[in-house]
Amino acid sequence: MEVSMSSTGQWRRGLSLLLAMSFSFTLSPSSSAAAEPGALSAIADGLSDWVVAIKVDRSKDIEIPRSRLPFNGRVSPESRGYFKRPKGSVTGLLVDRRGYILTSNYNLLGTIRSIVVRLPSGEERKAKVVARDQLDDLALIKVDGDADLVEEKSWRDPPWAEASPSAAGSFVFAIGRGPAPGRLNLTEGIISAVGRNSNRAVQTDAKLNYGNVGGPLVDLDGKVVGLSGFVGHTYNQWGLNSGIGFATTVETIRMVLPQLLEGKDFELPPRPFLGIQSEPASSGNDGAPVVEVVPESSAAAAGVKSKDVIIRFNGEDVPNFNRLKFLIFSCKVGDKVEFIVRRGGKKITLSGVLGKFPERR
Amino acid sequence: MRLFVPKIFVWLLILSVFGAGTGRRLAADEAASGYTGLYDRISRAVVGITRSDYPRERARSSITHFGTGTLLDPVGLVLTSPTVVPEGSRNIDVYLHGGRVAPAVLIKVYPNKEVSLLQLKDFRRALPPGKERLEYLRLGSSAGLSVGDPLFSLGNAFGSIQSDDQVVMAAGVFSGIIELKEKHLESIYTGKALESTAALNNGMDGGPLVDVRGRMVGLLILNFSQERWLGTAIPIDELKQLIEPHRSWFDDSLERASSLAGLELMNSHEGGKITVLRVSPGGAAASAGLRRGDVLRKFNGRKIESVPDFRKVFHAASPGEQVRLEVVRDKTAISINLTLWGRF
Repeated sequence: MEVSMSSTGQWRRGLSLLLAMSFSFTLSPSSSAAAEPGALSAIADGLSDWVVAIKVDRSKDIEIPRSRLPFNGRVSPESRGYFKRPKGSVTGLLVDRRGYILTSNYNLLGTIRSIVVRLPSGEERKAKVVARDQLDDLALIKVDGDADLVEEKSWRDPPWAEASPSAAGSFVFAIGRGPAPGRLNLTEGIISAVGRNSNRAVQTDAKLNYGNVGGPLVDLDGKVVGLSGFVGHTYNQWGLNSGIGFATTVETIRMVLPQLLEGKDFELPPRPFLGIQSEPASSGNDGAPVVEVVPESSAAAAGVKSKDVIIRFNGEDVPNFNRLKFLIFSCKVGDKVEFIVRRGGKKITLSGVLGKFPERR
Repeated sequence: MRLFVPKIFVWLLILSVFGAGTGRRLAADEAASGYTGLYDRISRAVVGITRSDYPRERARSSITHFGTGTLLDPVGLVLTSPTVVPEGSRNIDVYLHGGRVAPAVLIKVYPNKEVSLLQLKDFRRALPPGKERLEYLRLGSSAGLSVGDPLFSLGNAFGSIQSDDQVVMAAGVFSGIIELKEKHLESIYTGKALESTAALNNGMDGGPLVDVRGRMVGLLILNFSQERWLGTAIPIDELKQLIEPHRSWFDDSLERASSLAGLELMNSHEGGKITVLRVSPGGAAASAGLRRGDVLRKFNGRKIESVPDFRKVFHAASPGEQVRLEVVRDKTAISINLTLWGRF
């Protein structure tokens, strides 16, 4: 369901007119881009300086484990093709004038012979992988050559949003260049959920397919709220264009990009550890009962005792151990945390610093 | 491309009509940046459901089935599908907003209509702090839908509620009514179904299809037509009469009874008992001496076996009328005279 933006036709004019009619009733004056005729194509065109097409030539692609396929791989020969990566360009976002391009890591898996980037000007340049962030399905590539790709005086950063949407329901658009690299394409949708992938990604129902994966997800003002990814068959069971898509948020990109630009892969951060053993969630919603405190852990240092019940953590209600785990894993190692325990009839506020999850030997 | 045009076309046209007409505020709020307001209003009434066929002690690693449910009354009635909770299910857990988990029991299955109804065992333990009621979805009308109306699917796609405490929502339009003739996946529903372009994925079966006002118009199911491959839902109009007798609340239509007596009731689902859930302080029921936990048996000597029956007799009574209730309190039957209030 792609809209080719550079093709002109009567349907498009009709659509633009209608969009203009609809939005003019409902949009605030600040969203001027969307209030004019051709609203959606204006959103796509606004990104055209940064959205690039990437062509990857592989000698070997990654194998899909049978266990990852629906019905354990017992699918008809015709539908097997669905799980193969098609040839054709994918999408990336130019993030640095020296020629660094951010895209989905999935786009760059397999044994790669060459990467060719087709810039918005139409010029084609070879590129190499600089660094990867598997946790967020991001990869950074750089076009070959020492000279800057864009002169300093004419360079503008991509229109990053201040923040990704804070609630489900906002309109968003996925923008890409594949499979026809000369034109931009756009799919429309809403934010389906926030706070996915440990609060590092958002979910959208804007259709994602191999061609637009790695491109920006933008809001109604044309601001980049995330980079689409997590669509590859190595990650999941849902298919392309399924109405389930993910985009790593602008906040996460802001955090990870400096490190990727230095050429360092982003490693999985160590998991935080409080140091209590509790019971599973089905035991109720009266807090997380502490069965045992791990010696020399953050919990022990904070003064948690067995038979305490943790009822609040960092200002959030803790109905059960499941929720506590979720809240702890939303923090980082070294974060200062405050929590309230119920001990006997009393409520006691304790605080500590989260440690590292102990490695299994 | 051919698909895209009508979709956006009609959807936004509908919005513009709202903008010009009576629903102007609603549409203006919603469409300015999307449907965040809608999501905010209704997502807490959508729950994740897991069930395990193994004993609870072993259940932690053997959750084999999950899906979505919809809270339909404020005391924990959950509508879902037998593809999520079939007849004979045990070890059912309901995941609510904020990571709360509440065990539930299966109270009724209507296999042909693909309806399973659950009741939270103790809804009070599932309440957010400071709240006395669960948020629930209002039922809309599937007959009132026109092709092109915006529709939204909500649910537990691929376990998003258990894993991230996130109900997911997808937007689309009402594409039409289709006759489902064959059975696919585990779904056995055949007959008239609503079709929509709102994404429907694994784990969303049992969830609600809602209209732009946030009212449930369909029950999302796994069945589909091979001609169309769109998401389908059972029209809510076909399910209302199955669901209504199980709802324990003085809903919009019941305000009268509630204001007459100052009384809130629930079905306890154990042998058709009707239990007093709350007595409004200072209300007619409170003055007459009714208490929370009382089990209602008779109204003016007539035996009453369900909340809808109770509703009927209340509706027939007039303000100021004195009625005689027989209730059971601590295993003792007592008689209470209640003077119904007028409406103010």
